[in-house]
Amino acid sequence: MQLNKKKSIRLALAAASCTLLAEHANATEANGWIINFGTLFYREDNRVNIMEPMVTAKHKYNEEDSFTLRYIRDTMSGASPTGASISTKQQLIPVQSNTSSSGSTNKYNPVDPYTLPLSKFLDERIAVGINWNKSLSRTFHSILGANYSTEHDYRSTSGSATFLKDTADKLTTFTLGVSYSNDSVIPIGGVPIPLRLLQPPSIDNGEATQGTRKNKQVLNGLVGVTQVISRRVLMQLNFSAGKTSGYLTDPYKIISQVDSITGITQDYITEKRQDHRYRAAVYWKTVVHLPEDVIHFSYRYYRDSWAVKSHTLKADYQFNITNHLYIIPSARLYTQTRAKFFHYSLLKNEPIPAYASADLRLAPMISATAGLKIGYNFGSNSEISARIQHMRQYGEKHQAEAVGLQKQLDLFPTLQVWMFNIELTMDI
Amino acid sequence: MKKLIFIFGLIGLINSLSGCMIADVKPWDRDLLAEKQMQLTPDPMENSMDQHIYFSKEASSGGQAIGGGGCGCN
Repeated sequence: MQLNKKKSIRLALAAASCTLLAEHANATEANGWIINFGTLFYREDNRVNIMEPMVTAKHKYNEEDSFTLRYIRDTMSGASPTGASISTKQQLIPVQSNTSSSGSTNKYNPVDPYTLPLSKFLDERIAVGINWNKSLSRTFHSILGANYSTEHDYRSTSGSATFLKDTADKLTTFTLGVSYSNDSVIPIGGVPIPLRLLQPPSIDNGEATQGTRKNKQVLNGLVGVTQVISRRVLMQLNFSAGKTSGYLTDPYKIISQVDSITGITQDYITEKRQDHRYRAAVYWKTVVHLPEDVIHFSYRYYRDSWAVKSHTLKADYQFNITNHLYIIPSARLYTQTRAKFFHYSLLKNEPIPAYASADLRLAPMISATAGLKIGYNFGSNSEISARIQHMRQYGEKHQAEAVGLQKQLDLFPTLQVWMFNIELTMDI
Repeated sequence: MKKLIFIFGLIGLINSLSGCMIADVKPWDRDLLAEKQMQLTPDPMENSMDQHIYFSKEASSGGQAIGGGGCGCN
């Protein structure tokens, strides 16, 4: 009993000193800058490569208020799936007039047997953003944000407002947020006419495009509650819903039309998606402080009007090796159902549906990611860290709608991705 | 009907959390909660990288927060 009392006094003193230290840290942080440099290296096996350096600068101009500036630059290269189905035969896919983003002047894209048709690309994206955190009262805060990004064939302008209301005891926080984005799609070579037959350039004299630009709007809303459950447990529950409308078709994706008996590819057409999409998600996160280590665990359920339903589980475990050094193994598991207009291919002798896409990102799939991070902090807000992750995406190899030779093929080749990122945060 | 069951289940979960599990943590007991590693998003930059990757490779997005820039990657 005496021992327990002594221990509780010791813990109370430790807690009090930690609180004082935290307050001191916050005091030094006020009116200062926190600069964060990071770079992501992303590599898919035989497909896409991305290098993404970014920097953020957060300025705290008093105890409660701050603004954060962001700059991101993506360099993307490699090849991505066209949507055309894999085949047992050599394929010569007529190049759409608008798919020359790699600068190629070829009129056909030759694809070897048993190889997923890919299209080369090269692009660069620059994104800037600002967030303004403003305290409106002791228990009421707002975060206003604005973002702009530009690529060769895409522009995005967005704004967001989030309001956070604490209860008087500051154990519960209610969140209300809304965001709006107005994007422009400017496909290289023009906007393709949807569900149109791709023909060899020598005989294709018809109009293949319908203008040069299309727009897309994204409206999202979020309500949530964050609750301190105990001295060691924090929990968050969010409900979000959104609507995307406008041009949601991928201008570079195509679909194979195959013979209904043999499964051999006969033709290719451009894709078309519905021009609106309603989304909803429930997100739950829990953070638990063990005696030494910390666990982050989250789950998300998502569904949308394209009939995609998904479950996402994520867990991070932070091992605190010393007061400054830590490692975080992490795991993420994601499953999704197919979009209602997704097809690996269409049958040549059947009517073309109103909407169709063969984008494998709309296919049923499982995605698993494992990661390991190591970090070292050398001040209240100064830290250096590195993380490596490996992701694998699995789909239906031999799905039910395959016909003829397609039954011998792996229609969703497993995708393997390696990701490496480094970060440096400095308090200046 | 499924939606109703889901909503009532969610309300029940929140109610059970608030009624049974939530402790009255005093300000002087919030030392652990104040640590960076206990924040819901301890590394915003890393989180934005992840959100960008998954947005471009999967059909789902959102849930965790709102805001962030658009991208032609999906």
